[in-house]
Amino acid sequence: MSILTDNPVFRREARSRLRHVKRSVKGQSAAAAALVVIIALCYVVVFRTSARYHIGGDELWLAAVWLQLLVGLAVLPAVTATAICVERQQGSLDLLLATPLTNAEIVVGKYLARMVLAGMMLAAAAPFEVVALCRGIEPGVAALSLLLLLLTLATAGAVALMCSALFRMTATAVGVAYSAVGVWVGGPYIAAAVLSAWAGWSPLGRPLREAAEAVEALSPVRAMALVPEVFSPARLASYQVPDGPSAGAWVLLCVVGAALLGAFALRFTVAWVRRG
Amino acid sequence: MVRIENLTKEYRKLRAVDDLSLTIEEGDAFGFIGPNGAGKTTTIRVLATLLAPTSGEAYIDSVSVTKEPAKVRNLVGYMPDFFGVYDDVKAWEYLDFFAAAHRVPAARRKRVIEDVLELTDLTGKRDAFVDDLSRGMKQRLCLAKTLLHDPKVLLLDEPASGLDPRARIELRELLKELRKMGKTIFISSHILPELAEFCNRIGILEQGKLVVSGPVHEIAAKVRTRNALEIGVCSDAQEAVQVCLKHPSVRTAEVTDGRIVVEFIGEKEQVPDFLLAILQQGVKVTSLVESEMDLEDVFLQVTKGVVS
Repeated sequence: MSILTDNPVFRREARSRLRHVKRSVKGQSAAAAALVVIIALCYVVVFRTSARYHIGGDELWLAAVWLQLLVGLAVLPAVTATAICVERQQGSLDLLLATPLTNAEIVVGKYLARMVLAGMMLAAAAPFEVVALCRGIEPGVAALSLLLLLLTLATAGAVALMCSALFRMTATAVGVAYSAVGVWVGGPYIAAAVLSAWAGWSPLGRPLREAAEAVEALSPVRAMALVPEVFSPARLASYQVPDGPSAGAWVLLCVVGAALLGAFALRFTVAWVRRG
Repeated sequence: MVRIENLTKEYRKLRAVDDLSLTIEEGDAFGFIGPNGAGKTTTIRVLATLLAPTSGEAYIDSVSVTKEPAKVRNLVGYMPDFFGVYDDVKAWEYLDFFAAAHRVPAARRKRVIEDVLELTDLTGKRDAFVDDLSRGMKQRLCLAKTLLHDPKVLLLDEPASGLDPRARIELRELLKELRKMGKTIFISSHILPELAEFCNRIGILEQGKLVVSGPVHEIAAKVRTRNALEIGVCSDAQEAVQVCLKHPSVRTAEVTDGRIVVEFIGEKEQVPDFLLAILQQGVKVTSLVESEMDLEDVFLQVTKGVVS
């Protein structure tokens, strides 16, 4: 049985959620139609406004990606951190664990179902991205920001899922998941500020400033802010260390860090799901 | 079919199961009895591969639950004492999910689901949402789920808890049917009369230790410390009690439900002499039977520590 293509956990969760969506669309078709009209109006307004005020495709694209990133980080921990502990609380997890499904099938099925759900929510910003593409955009900026967005959300989801396996109470799991994602996103800024302050009076000024930049780049928010600079070196931020590593290196550092963190969180969840 | 060898499970300082050894043959219906906290659920969870034992080993059909848990999960059907159901899932979808989880091939799944629904008398609820089913129906649905992969051993932890009398009777009949189908059933319950009627063997657990196990009648004989006689009379019962109490082999006598229950401390061979004696003193006896020791009596006797 393929863990991705034929995963019963994923199918059950997706079926359950899509039924809910189907019901609401059936029952509130007028609301759905209104939503379509609103999105279409937004599309027209954004397109015309951006053209009138000479807002480039890059700016529009990044605005949409930033919106998706922030909304995703705000929503994903709550969506994902409930995946396992809710089943444990309602007493259905034992039934699942008593089947021949492997830990990986259970964890990946739950993870993917929630990521798909989050993806559907974030698709609301897609019209803006389409407008941006129409206005013209640096392909590298689009690709890298999209990669960073998906990787950040995937990692945040994995960390929240790990919390769900670790804690029995839903409220605790959600609270710790938000805290963990908060530390990942905001912690590097605090650490970098401390290192920068230390660099101000330490004889190791330059290495410390470079370390501060490296630490700061571990935050996906910081890395996202650096994306335009990767393709426009002229826009180098004034606080960057002269002749230090490029913005591209810092973004790469963030990508690698996020990938490692996400992989660790998923691996840990797979190992822990039967022990919690 | 089920073999438990020196199984011990500790939770920090608490020893939930203490050096438990047990063998259950194929086709047995084994009743696992014990007070709350005796270690029944822990034992069943170990057999279902949901808990790792601290020491010892357990085998299902000669497959180790610790070394080959994935194989064991195909051999057992597990029904916990408390279980939740998924929201927004219909009965057939619920079963379809677990059938897929048990690797029942997609082509066979529909047929298998129809079969277990019929067996558990839930065919009419096929398209009902699981959340909307009554407690008894949910229990039956869980049992249907347990049967999807045609397991050799059923591990049922308090399956009748919380059910009304009708649902209990229906569940009991269903379990009898499954036993006829050759399933080995390992069932824990607090409702002892039902177990007595259904199980051919029992094991009584107290404080994690197996106090006694074997066929019900053998255990009853083993733990019997007295003979109780029930005497039906058509004369004055209170007078008959006084007559009985005068006999040297009678320790106590009292009227219960219109019959005289006598605690007889003599040998069995002395019963006819006792009967003759009371007849000669004018007691009009209509019946005399040796009262059977039921499972509740056995349980009370054993868990008081009389045997251990």
